[in-house]
Parts: sequence; C-alpha cells; structure tokens
Amino acid sequence: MPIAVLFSGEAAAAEASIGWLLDPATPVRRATAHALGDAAHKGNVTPTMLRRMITMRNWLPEDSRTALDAAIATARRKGVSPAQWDEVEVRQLITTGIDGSGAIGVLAHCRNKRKNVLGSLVLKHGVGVRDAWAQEGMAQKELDHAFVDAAVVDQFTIAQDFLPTAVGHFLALGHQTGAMPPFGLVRFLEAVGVSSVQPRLISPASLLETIEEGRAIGAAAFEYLLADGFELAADYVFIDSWFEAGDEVDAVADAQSSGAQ
Amino acid sequence: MSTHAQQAADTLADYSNAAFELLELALDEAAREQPDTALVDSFISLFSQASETLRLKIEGGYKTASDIAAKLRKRLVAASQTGASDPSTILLLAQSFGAAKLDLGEELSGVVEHLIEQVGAANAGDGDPAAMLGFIADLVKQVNGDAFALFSCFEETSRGAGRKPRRYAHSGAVFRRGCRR
Repeated sequence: MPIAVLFSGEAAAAEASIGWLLDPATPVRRATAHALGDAAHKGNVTPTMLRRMITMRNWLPEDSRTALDAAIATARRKGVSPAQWDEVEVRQLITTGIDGSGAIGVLAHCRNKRKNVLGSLVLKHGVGVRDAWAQEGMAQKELDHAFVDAAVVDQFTIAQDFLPTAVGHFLALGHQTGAMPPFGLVRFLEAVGVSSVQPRLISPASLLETIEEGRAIGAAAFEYLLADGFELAADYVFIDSWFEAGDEVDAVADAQSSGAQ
Repeated sequence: MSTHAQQAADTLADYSNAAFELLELALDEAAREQPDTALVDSFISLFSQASETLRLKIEGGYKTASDIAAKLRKRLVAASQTGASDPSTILLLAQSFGAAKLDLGEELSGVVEHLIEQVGAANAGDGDPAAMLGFIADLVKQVNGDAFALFSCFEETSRGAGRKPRRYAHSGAVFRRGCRR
C-alpha cells in the first residue's frame, strides 16, 4: 500500500506515504524508505516531503535509517531543498498533570496563515509518544470548548521551548519500548512551530534543574527519594493510599450506599 | 467533534452496554433485505465512539469492560460466519473496533483478513489498476488534500485488519469501502 500510494500521481497521497516510515514493522519502514529513494530518483519527492523525512529521521530505530538516509541524499542531489517551516503564533499551550495511567496531555491553540489550529499530544510513561494530531480551520467556539473540556483535570501553562525536551524524552523512551510515534506528531510539531525534536532521555535530576525558582529539594535528595520509592510509605503514611476504580470498588460503594439508606 | 456528537458520546459514556447493543443494531439493520444504509452508518459511527469509551474503561481497570470487549469479538466472529449481514458492514465494525485501539485477538484478526479479501474482490472492478488510482484520487478529494487525514484513513483500515499490510497490496479496493465514512 505505501508504494501504491506513493506512486499514485497524487501529491497529497505521496506526502501521506511518508507516514509508513513510522510503521511498527521494520520491513514496512524499510520498504517505504526504499520506495522514497525510487521516488527521489524520479523527481517525485517534494520539498515538504523532504523536510518531513529529515524531521523524522532520528525518530526511526537505527535498523531503518540507512535506506532513509539514501533517499534524503538522492532528493538533495536532484536539487530538492527542504521546505521552510511556517511562521506560527502560539496562543495557548497547556499540559495536564500525570494521570493514573502515566499519561500527560498537551493542548495547543496556534494561528497559522490566519487560521486557527488546535493540536493535541499524549505522552505516556512506560510507552513514549502515544498520540498526536492537529487540525486547522477550527472556529473559536470549538477551540474554547476543547480547552473547557480539558479543564476537568489540572492544567499547567508551558513554554513552547520546553516541547523539544519533553517530546524528545518520550521519543527516546519509545526507542526503548519499541513504541513508534504516530505520524500525527509531525503535524503537531508543524502546528506549534517546533522544527527539530531529537530523541533524548532527560534524567529526573536534570529535569529538576530546569526549575529555576521554587525548588524545595535538591537533585541529590530527589534521586534518593526516587530510588527509595517503595520504602517511602513507611515514613510518609499518607502516600500509602491511591484512588482505585473498577468493578470491585463500584460494588463496595453500592453496598455502602445501600447500607446507609 | 460537533456538539451533537459530543452529546451522544457523553450519553453513551453513562451506558455501559452501549457498544454491544449498537453492534447488534448495526448487524440487524445490515441483515435486512433493503437496509437503510444511512442508519447502518450512524450505528457504526456510534459503535466507534462506544468502543473508544470501552477502551478507556479497560485501561482504567474495569473487568466488565474487558468482558464486553470479549463479547464483541465473539459476536463479530459469529456474524461473519452466519452470512446474514453484509460483509463490508462487518468489516467496518471490526475496523472501528480496531481503530479504538481494542485488541482484535487472533480469531477476529483472521476474520478481518478474510473479509478484506472478500470485500476487496467484490469492489475490485475486474482488477483494473486505474480503478485503484481513481479511488486514491477520490479519497484525496474527500480529505481536501490533507496528507495526514489520508494516512489516518489508510492506517485505520490497516489496524482493523491486525496490522498485516502486505495483504493489502492486492486488496487495495477494500479501502474504498473502509474510508468512505
């Protein structure tokens, strides 16, 4: 399918075919990269495709990069230059706290060529980049509704320049877990104007050091706390509790409620 | 998501068995001699949303949700064996299930592969490659040239078939039915 789509003669279809570079299966990624090399030979790789191929190159596992490097080099030899990134205005950028499944949500409202763009990202501990998309042409009312919906959980405003660090960490995590990022991540990064994200794990201590004001703990003590995590409940009883959900909890709650009546 | 779709999703979230009932409604309508295709499409769309809610409940640790997912898999497999409902409808339902990131399981994955071949053969247009290219052009128009939307459409169909994309090299026509939603 990637090959049929790439050589369909439709520009949008050729651009879509790049998505298979992020397929979970190595043979699919390699076949797509080789097909892109053929397309580059025939002059069918556009500047936008080339920019995206370069953006995604380090997101791929090492076993899939050689063929993509060859395709990129061929396109450049054919005189194709990567397309410029759009100038975007980030109007609102928020992140949620970490939920019980280890996921963090990011929601962005941007403006690009006089159009509203809404972008969303889900980063998940133990997995990597779980989901990402962006949609343009949204009405202000729809945007407001999206942010109101997201407000049911804790939200924190973040700076645009923190995104490469955050996304880079979860891309590197995905290399460890084998979870490929979604193609929509490219769209999200284009929407928020982040032109380069390299997979790079950030240690808890390094992350702590990025907090300039309001730190109540030093890096060494923080690392000790994390290492001692399982034993902490012995000293701090309140953390030996958690919200539970599920059928058993519902049954107990119903029984308690019936008893109270 | 439109306001009405959001309202529907919120209502469905409170009704734990919605996915199974919606599946039955879609299959029943598709099995009629003259099914109302718009109604079938609506049921499939609602089933898709209910499946997403189900997946969230499964990730939240609800065993009931896991049991419902197992029932859905079983029902889809059974539906493919009775031959009562249109195969392309069963395929769309299975793909919606997969697109909600619910595990198809081995048996349903096998059924989906078979359905893809079956539906693909029915829509192939005597193996005319031009028909395939025409379909891609048509799809590009439907998504207004959005490369990411186009890729999502192909990927959802791939995911619904247990992630064996090599099978699709000769069954591309199935995407015509799968992506026209």
